[in-house]
Amino acid sequence: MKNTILTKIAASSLALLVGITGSTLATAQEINFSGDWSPLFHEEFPDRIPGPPLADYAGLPLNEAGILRANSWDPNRISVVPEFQCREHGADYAMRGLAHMRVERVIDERTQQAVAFKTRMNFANMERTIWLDGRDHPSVNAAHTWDGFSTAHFENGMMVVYTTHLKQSYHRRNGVESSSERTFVEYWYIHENILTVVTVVDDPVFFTEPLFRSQNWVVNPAMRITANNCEYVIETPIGDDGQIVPHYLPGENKFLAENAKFYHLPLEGQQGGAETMYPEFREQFGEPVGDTRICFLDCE
Amino acid sequence: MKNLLNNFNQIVLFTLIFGTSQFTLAQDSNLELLHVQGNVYMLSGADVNVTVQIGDQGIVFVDSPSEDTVPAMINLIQEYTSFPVLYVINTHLDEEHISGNTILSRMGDRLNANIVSFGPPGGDQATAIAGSAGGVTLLAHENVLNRFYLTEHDIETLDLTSTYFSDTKDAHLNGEGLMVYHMPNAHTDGDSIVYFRRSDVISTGDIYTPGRYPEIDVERGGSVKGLVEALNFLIALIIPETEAEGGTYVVPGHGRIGDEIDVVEFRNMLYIVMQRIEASIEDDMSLREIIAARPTLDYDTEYGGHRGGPSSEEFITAIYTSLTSQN
Repeated sequence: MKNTILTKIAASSLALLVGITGSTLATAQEINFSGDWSPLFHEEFPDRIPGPPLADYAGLPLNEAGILRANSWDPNRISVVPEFQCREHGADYAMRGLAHMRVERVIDERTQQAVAFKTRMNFANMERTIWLDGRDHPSVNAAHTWDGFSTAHFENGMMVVYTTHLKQSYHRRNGVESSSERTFVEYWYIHENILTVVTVVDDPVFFTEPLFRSQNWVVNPAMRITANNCEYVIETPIGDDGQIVPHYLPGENKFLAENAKFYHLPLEGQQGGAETMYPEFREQFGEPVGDTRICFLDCE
Repeated sequence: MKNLLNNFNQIVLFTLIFGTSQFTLAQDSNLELLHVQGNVYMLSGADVNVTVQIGDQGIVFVDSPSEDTVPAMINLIQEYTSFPVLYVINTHLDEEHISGNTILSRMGDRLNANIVSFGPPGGDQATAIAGSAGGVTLLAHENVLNRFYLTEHDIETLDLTSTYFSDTKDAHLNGEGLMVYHMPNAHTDGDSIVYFRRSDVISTGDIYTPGRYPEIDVERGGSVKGLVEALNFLIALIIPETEAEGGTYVVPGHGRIGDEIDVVEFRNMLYIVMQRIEASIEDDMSLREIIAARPTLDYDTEYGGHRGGPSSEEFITAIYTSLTSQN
């Protein structure tokens, strides 16, 4: 009888230990990204803060469709097409953008396990849910959103996020469009007070190969996020013969060479393509030619 | 006698649902019923999207898929309701959007059809053709009927009980107002879009087909400029919730559920390609030269025939034909 009781106690203890250990192991790899984060802009600062110059697609693995789409883009479209005025960034570009980011962990009250992270950015009310509970992605015919649908798991000390169901948006804010068929994978990891997120964007409509980017944030407890309220308005009257969708006909965009001339760089490099992502490309095109002094106004 | 007919209808419905569903489900395993918003669902996975409104009065369909698909579709709907079919609105004459009318017309009940409210008495909105078919109203724009009788088409039979010839037609079904708008000279000259006002969902037919080029059926009165106008009308009707997202949702004739900005991008594509071809025509380029110049190059990877729909060449040809024939 005593042995039986001891056996039961031992078994129960073992089960408890296994339960605790198993629980600990199950959560050991989970990382809590909760907090207030401010972006660091040491990577590609000119591209992200002042914004990219017209027709500079260097470093983007664009196919010929992506290049023509960007070359046809007229910046007036943003104001003439009122529906564009209140767009959020797509979730992939949002990680590249300018905004502070708040991350909150969503806990299932019953199990006390994390089921998701919610992120909120300080631009256009961008909110995103990254599901950790193993749910499936929606039907291919479900609606797409700016933030898409994200699921994640933990692997090698990182959170690996997979996002689908994105709306058409932009890879770069100078007319380089991204398609609603793109997906992206993110790798989130923390080292000391820095959060690094590497994004790998696959866009079968406009890319010949995936685009890798990395972004960094620093913990900032003083960071505050404000609410946004955007309501679009008609800013430009459109006459009977006016364009309702501003664009350049193929071959008629006179601004394509502007940036290349300014920096004395070959136009081919500015037009992007997978080869422009790699260091070897710089050697291929050599040094800038001619007078490389940069002139800002009334230059010849 | 009326009860007997009703019982017969129920038996037919039961037989269709349970007698053939397993076989059909095996054939149509891609079928799914997606909740859009409010009372409105979208059946996808068939040749065509079908908009389904489910309510206390019965089931309203916008477009009807092939007869082979109907039993499996009804089987999915049975998870939500067992009420009979009330109303079918066809957005245009294409076979894949209309060929299920006959079988759906056998799944109705006249009593339910009688409590439908049509617009103001004496108005020009409802035109009876043959009365209700088993209690189910089958509605389309009058030009659908005209094209069926007066021009060539792929349809063997056309089951309609009612047409409208004015700009709009309204009805109050399942507790919400439905506005049917005629879109003249767009995909064809008989296109309708259907706005479910309380659910805030618009069913567009082939006016909007994300991921594939639109088919502009010039032979049947379609035109590229009319299609741009129809899309502009649709965009004006849609109200996004916030940040250009959500609010009014759109069920396309083919492809995924969308909202305003999705329709805007589709309209932009059509408008830009139209202007490129228009400029080429002004430069006296022939159709062959225009096709060779690839005016759809930057849209082909997104829309170019790989999900059904017209190829790039067919799309360019339709726009060229429309612009040069002044349709």
